[in-house]
Amino acid sequence: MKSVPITLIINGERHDLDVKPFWTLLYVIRDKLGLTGTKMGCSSGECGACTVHVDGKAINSCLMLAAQADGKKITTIEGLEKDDKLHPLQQAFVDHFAVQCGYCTSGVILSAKALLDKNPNPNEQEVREAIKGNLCRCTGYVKIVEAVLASTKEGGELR
Amino acid sequence: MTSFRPTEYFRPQCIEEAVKSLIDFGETARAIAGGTDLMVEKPPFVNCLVDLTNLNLGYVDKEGDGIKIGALTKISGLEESPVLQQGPYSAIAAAARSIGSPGIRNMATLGGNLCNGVPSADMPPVLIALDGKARIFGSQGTRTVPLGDFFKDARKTALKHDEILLDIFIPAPPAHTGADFQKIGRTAVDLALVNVGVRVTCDGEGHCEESVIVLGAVAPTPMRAVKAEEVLKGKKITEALIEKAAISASAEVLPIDDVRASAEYRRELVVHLTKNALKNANEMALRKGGEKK
Amino acid sequence: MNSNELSVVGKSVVRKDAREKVTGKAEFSIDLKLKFPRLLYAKIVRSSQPHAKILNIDVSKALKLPGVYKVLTSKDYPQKLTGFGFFDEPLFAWDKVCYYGEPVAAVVARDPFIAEEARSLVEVEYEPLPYVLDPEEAAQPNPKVVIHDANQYEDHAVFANMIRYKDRPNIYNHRKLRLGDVDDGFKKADIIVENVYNTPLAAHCGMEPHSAIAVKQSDGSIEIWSGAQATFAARGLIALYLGLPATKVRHHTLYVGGGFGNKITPKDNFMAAALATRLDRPVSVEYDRSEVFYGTVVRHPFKMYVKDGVTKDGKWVASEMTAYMSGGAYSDLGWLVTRNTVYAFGGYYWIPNVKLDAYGTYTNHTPAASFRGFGSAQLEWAIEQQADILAEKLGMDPAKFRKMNMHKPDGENVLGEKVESFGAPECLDKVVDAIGWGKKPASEDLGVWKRGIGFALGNKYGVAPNISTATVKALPDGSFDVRMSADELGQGIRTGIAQLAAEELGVPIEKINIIPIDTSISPYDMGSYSSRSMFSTGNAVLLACKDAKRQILELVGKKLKLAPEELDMKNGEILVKSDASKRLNMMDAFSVSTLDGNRFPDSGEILGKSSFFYLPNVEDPETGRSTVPGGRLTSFYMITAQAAEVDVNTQTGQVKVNKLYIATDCGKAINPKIVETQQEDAAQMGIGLSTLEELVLKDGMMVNPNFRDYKMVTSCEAPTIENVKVFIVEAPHPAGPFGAKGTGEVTVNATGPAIANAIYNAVGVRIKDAPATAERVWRALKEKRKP
Repeated sequence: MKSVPITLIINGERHDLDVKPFWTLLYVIRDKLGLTGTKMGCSSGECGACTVHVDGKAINSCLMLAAQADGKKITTIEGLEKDDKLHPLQQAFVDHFAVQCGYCTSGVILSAKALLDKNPNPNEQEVREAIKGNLCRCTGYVKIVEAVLASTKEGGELR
Repeated sequence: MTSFRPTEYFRPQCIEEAVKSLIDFGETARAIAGGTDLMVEKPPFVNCLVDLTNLNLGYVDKEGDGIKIGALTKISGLEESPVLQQGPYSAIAAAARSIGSPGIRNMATLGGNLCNGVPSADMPPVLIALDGKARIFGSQGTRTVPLGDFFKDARKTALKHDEILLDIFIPAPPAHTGADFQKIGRTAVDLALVNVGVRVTCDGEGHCEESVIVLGAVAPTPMRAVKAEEVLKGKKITEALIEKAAISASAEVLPIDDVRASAEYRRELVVHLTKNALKNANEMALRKGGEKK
Repeated sequence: MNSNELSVVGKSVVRKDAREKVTGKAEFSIDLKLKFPRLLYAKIVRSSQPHAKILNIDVSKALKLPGVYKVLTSKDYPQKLTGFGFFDEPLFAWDKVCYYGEPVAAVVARDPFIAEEARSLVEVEYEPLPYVLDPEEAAQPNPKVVIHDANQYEDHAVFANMIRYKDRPNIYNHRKLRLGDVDDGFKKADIIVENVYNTPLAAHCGMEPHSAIAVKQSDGSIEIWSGAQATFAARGLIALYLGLPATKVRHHTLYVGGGFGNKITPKDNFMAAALATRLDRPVSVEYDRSEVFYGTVVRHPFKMYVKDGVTKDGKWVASEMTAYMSGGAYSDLGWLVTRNTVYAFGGYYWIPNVKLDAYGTYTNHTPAASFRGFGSAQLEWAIEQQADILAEKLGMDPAKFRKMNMHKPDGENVLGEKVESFGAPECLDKVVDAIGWGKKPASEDLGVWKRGIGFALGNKYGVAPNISTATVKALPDGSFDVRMSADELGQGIRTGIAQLAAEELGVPIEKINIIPIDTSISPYDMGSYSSRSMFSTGNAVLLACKDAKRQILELVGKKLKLAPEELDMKNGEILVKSDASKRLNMMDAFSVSTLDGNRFPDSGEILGKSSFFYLPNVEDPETGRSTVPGGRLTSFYMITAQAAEVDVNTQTGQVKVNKLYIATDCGKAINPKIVETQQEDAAQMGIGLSTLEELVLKDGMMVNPNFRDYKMVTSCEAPTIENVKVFIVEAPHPAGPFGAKGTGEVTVNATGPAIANAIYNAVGVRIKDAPATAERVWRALKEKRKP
């Protein structure tokens, strides 16, 4: 088995690793690097719990090989909070009761962030389209969508 | 091996390297790009992954009067490409937009959607309807296959083991052409229970010169409803004629019963989707002079 | 205490766990792996057959794979059975498998990929046996297929008075409800409506797959980390199976990523503990998503034969139902689901003659057990459509029909229980009014799409007995540690409990620390199911706070030479009731000594403790009713009324739910926003269960154990923000903490029938077999068009 040497830049921090060809980015993030904020929900790209940003785009990390992420800039949920201050999306999820069990939360926030990075003032339908790949069993999506919309109005720097 | 545990990973830097690695690693080698099919299927026989993502095959560009779309263009790139927002080409963007979720679209590629040969794939119908041509590179050099001949059977295409898809060339649609894509799924993120891509080319006076009606998820490969196309040919397009064509299409397809839908229900959906697609395509054809770029 | 005086109860305070969840710091058991050096990984080999003899299990190839430590089968464990009250289930299949997905062996390896490879190398030779999936067929006397003889098993649930038959071996429980005489009732009826309703196999789909880590400690005890909905029950069952005293099994319960009934009976934690006894290193058992679908409990399919009779002036005089429940291969908690079916009739309707026979029956699929709604939901799919049909035949408004057939708010219900709190009429009024029923044309023709409105009631009981214990420890910084064992599933119980404690102790909520569940530290609780935690654990916590408060005030009283009754606690201070100027900061009440470790003078520690018991009366097993008139068999009833506006595509049968209005009677909303979010989930799970979700079996094998083909409602199917409205109705329960009952489960009970009634209103077809998928509606429309 040939290990593949790769470099991942996760939340601004550089990681040099040797990975097996079949390791997914999700597996490396969670079970090698200990960044367990990104979740495993289905391992088949259906639930969105594993959503991270790769070079600014939201992707399902359970479907990307770690080797394919070589040299790429990756953002996980851990990268949103800065100096104990929550990202406006995170703060909005707290303030608007958009969290129940919390398992889908990281993925939803990363999907929503990808939308806001491109379109800082989406309407409700655009928010729903952006998170349609994130399954949530606990909330009915109502407060999740409310929180995303509220985070745009409440201002704060969107990073 | 009885589970998915490839021991080799190779990232070619050019198409020649890619082809060579497929040959060198043999039958257990598989190309991977977005991984949205391969990493779900996880076929146990795969021992070597040839990662195509470094090849410069992600583009949507003009070529002569037509356009070329690189095999490694992400589905989200198709959705957003300025080249695909107007006229008949907009059906390509519509098909792309219907695929999966934003996360999937940011990874999946046109090449993957075509080369996996899944019967319900969403890109083939419109590209076939627009007379797309698959340009393939292999150890024997480059060859071109009309997209209508590219699909052989479920999960089987014209690609040989030592070949990769380079891009799809789409000639400029004739004047007075419209195209449309329709898809129906169970929820907003779903495979197609039925999808359809159509092109309608008129003579400028509302008569159909030619139409191409391609249905997906109702046969082992995307299939043309040739009898339905005959119904329209040379005639003045009316609502009743569209209905007749749609019903004909419904009789031509070969759907199966599966957990998603019954064959009977799929036939019904073919009628409605084909009707809507033909109506929209016809309206576009009448509106525009056609895109001659 | 009236509501105006409450400082934190009844307020939508931000969840205590929100911040850790939005930052990804909240830990689920699946996140713990890197904390265990030398962790081993297990994967379970599962049956590929619905019913088959096991001829041989060949583990040799798996053992040869480098990195594989052990492969374990039933041969490695004592021949003991487990279950949740009814002991019929082995850890690994013994001589036959009874469902597709049943555990046959487990491989343990040094990394999860090797474990997965090894799993596929275990070769099991089966001899297929005939299988049965129809519960009605399985319930027959001398059935063709006998899965097990239910009469042979240990029944520890004596209170359940289970009924079984020697000649009907597949029935593990037959439950009866008898009131009056239905034959007499039907004679009196002017209109009789008979129908058959079906609900499908369905899955909970909590987003966190099951996973557990277990290790054998040097003293032989087993320590487990997992999500769970009933920690002490899990610990007890695991200890019993392993032949250990309960105190030798320690269970840590992490945040649960969605319970809904899927994490009550121990599965992953049970397996991890059992494997750990054979290993000298910690072991992780992590379920794939497909295993969560076929390897954890599912929702009972119900086949319901219903007959209802009304007099021409609208009195509902008789209701007869036979419900065949497809219980799957083992009873799990299915015997209790069967037993509790009777309570679906206890929510609001008064029908003088009722006959229900519910049969919990073995069938060859994944065991069916606890699932949000616990059987009431399936029954109400039928009952609430029947109500609409009866009203239509009477020419009566369906809301009026329902209201005129409700029991008295201060009377008895069909079970002979005292009605303790009754918000049903108000709930119904709210949604019927809000959806505009009667104010505009009921159905609308929009061309290909037709619009309709429908509504339904739903009820769900909370179990009795209820038993919870809590301890509250005062800390020198003026904060309090609350130890209680209501598992946090996302329902917000930790926050709700903190609110109760903060209110009782007169401190800000930031001063309440909820200690995570650890059986070595936490007091006993039945668990987080049956929507019981606020009522039961909440009461225990309140009582424990009162105990702690009494101790504090006694000590401070001695210091100030005042009786404790003259003192109170408010805003983090201890004050003299009669003199507002005399107050003592909580922190000053402690003598702080760095040697001493901070203690009250004359006492080591302030520790409040209490247990809350809420016990039922005896029931009559022949009738299912209370032997004491105006007695108690359940703890409370939660009510929901839901109104839906749907658009139905007459060509394709697609159903779009535009609006969903939900009114819920929860007794008292301790945290209104959290209650609201629970109810808003009807817009996802309620709609999903009634229009999309079905686990499909082909030749006895589950063909859609994945999200690709088990479709859940996404953000694009759920109605928009302004079209999901929740009305909270508070009909206080005399025994509930501040009047609170529960709210979690009743959410999904009315959505299905409300949508079914709306579809009928729109296009005149009645979908009696859930889910009302596009194809089913299309078929029904096709049938209707036939001349």
